[in-house]
Amino acid sequence: MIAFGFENSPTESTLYVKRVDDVFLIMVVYVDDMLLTGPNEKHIADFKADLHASFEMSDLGHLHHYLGIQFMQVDGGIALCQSKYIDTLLQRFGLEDCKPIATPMETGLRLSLHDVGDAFDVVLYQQAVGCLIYLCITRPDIQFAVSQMSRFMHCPGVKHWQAVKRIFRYLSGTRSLGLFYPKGGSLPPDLHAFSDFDWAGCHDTRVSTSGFCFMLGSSCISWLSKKQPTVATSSCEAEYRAAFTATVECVWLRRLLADLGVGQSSATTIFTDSQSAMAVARNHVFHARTKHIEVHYHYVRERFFAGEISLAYVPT
Amino acid sequence: MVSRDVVFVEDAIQPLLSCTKETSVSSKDVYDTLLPLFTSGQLSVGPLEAPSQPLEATHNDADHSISDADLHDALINERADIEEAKTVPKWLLQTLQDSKLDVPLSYRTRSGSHSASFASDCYAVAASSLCDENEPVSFDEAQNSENWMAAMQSEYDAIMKTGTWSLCDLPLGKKAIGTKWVYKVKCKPDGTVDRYKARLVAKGYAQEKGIDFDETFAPTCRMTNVRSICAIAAHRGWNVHQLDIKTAFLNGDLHEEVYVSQPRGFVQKGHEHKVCRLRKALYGL
Repeated sequence: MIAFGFENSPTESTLYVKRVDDVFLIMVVYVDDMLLTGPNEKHIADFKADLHASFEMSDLGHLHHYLGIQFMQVDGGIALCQSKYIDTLLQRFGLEDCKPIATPMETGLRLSLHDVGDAFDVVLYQQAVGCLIYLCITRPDIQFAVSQMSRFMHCPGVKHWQAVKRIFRYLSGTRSLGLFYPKGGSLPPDLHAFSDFDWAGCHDTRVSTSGFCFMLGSSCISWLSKKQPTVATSSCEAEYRAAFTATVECVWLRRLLADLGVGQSSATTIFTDSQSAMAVARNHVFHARTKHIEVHYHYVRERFFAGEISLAYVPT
Repeated sequence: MVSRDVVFVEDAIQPLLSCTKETSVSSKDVYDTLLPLFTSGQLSVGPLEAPSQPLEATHNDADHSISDADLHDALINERADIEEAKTVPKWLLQTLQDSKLDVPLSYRTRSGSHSASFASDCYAVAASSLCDENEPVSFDEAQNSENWMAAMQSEYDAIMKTGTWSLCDLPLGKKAIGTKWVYKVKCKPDGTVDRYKARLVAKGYAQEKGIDFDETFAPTCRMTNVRSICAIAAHRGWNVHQLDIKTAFLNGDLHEEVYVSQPRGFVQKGHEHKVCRLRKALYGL
């Protein structure tokens, strides 16, 4: 690829970008599958011809299926969904005829490693949750539920399986949902994020869960729901840790976007619903309540003062 | 005392033997007592031909005096069982290599080979339910079919075209890795046959780290990356194109010195004894 004038991005090793004169091409490599995009169709065609000369390859034209994900390129933007995959899954686990339900998880459901009824088939459970994890590629809405269920991979009970089936029921009613990336105006898209937490959500360890999602303009590009590594002694601390996780992703995304030609000139706003976490990030006064927080979490503070991120309050 | 299979340190064995006669000793005790001997190298175990006596039998006959051979067999038996549960014991591998035997797959790990064959059985069932075509499991089966011969020819041509290997004599002290044809029917979504695909793979499991390979990796990207690019392309109104490189693995340059045997069905006339020095990677390495 280097021979074709591409530069390998230091942020992401599978990303190659070509910037020569007025040629601007972006390429992603997934083993033997490649995605190629750029502003000028002629440059793309030229590059394909060059590639053809050196490798045996097939040109699959406009992106429509990639890694089992359906892509639809329309005038208004690009849509991503995995509805065929959902159909396959419902069939595979014998849930084609299940009754659709409006939410992926019962509100306030607290599952524990213990007290979950009879043991359930581990292999089947792991397969189902594994498939759901893959489905999260285009479905941020089930991310939290799926990450909850994947905590019981090693010892699933009947109650856990019921919760997994509920995710499938939710999917069966919403199988056509996916991500939509709309066409934007002339302004470069602005990156912003939302961060939240679930304090002491895990009943077995009292560990909190971090979550965030990043929006580029009005397109959701990155999200996460993850158990924090240690117990948070206050909700403020849990939120501060969640903000830390978001900050780390934010710094990486900003570099990635700069490589892709949409560098962010202003600080990226991370919206959070905890005033106290924002206060902790902004000043050093609250020593008594924060002195036990590991030093690396103050990365948030550092990036805040470096002007890479800003924090803003959003009511729940 | 020195026997063909084992060197006994009599002083270390003696107290154990005397206590075995009086009270019954559990197999674990015996193992624990002697394990340090194995590991410290005082008791060296040579190639073992046929361990036969199970340990339980020795226990039941606790009244009888236990012969050295019994104890030895029992220990080796147990040692082998424990080792085998994890992996093929090194000494067994060595023995098998010395005796010019191929390591049978079923010996690699008991549970591992079990699940592998189980998985492939399931897979075969699933595949045959999707497509009516049967997939041959060996070259002997495939060589009678025109479709499969054509598929192999196409794969062979691709290998030749990319300059994957050059024929040469095997240098002294080097091993050639075996190759194997793998067959797969590619189906269209509606279940009809799309194409017949034959792939030449190297029996990479015969390789040793540090000698035959250092690092293996395939470039996979984060989905965030793919989504970011789609979002940007959509925002700007660009088209996203998709390409598929055929024989992707064959495009990686190989830095290590690796030799493979010539593929069945494509052995060069007059060069039957030669091997292929790989210049680029093959599947299975």
